[in-house]
Amino acid sequence: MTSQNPFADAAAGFELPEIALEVDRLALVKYAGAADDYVRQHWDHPFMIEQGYPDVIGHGWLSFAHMCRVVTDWAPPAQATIARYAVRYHRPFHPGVLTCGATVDSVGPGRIDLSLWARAADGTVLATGSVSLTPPA
Amino acid sequence: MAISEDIKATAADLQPHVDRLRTRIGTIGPGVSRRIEVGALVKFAHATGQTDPLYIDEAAAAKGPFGAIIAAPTYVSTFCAETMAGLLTFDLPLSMFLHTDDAVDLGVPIRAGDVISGEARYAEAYLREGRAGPLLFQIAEMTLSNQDGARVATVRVGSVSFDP
Repeated sequence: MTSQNPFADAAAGFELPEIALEVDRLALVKYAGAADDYVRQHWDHPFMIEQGYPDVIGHGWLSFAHMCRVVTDWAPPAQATIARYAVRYHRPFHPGVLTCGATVDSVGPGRIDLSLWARAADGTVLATGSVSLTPPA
Repeated sequence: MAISEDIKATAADLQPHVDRLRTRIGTIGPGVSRRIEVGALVKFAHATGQTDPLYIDEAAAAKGPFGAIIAAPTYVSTFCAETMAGLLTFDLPLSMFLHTDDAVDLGVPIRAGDVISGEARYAEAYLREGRAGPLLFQIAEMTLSNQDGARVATVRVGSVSFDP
């Protein structure tokens, strides 16, 4: 659901529509190529098993990109500008279903602050973050 | 004591490495300068699930507010590997490293056709005791600007090295 004017529509506590998607190993390979990120934790399955992990780990930046998509699906780039963001990765994210959401924390003159999260299929919180929106330049 | 614990690095083992890394604080890594191709922005948008025409449709974006396709919000991350190469080091007696956090201030958007220049600075290294052993954190900060000298982004990236 896209807002035509997020700065008029937003209110503290508003929960943006969540997104849920399957992030499989192919998605990790595609992201690695698109982002020039070839760190072996994201593709070297035998290495990760040897290290004691059950599978490769998804790119933190990829999970955060999907968290940001919750925001840009609601407030597209023609309607709002992402001025800053921050994210903390709490748990490794393995291939599987990723669910992302966001809540409006506060709305001020020309500014919307949101909290973001990403969860694994079992409900584990993988990452939390924040985004600040300003009106388009 | 289990063998696996015998061979794990202790905080005392790691302290000389942290001392060495801390001498890098303030060091600037290799600069990067890259012309941003439409295809690279579209590929990145597709890989991150973006469908807004301003990220993927050249004709629609040309008529839009930016006059060209713009980069999706986290595209700035694609400059990290090059600018931080040789700056952050994972050549440590710890077998794993992971990305811990990011903090980004965005300036002007990256548009297709821009020439984006950037460099990163080694910001911090420190040890913490974790539940399963020592954790060695490293932080780098990258700045990006465009061909007009306008600030595009400041990106702070954190990583942790440890024995799983």
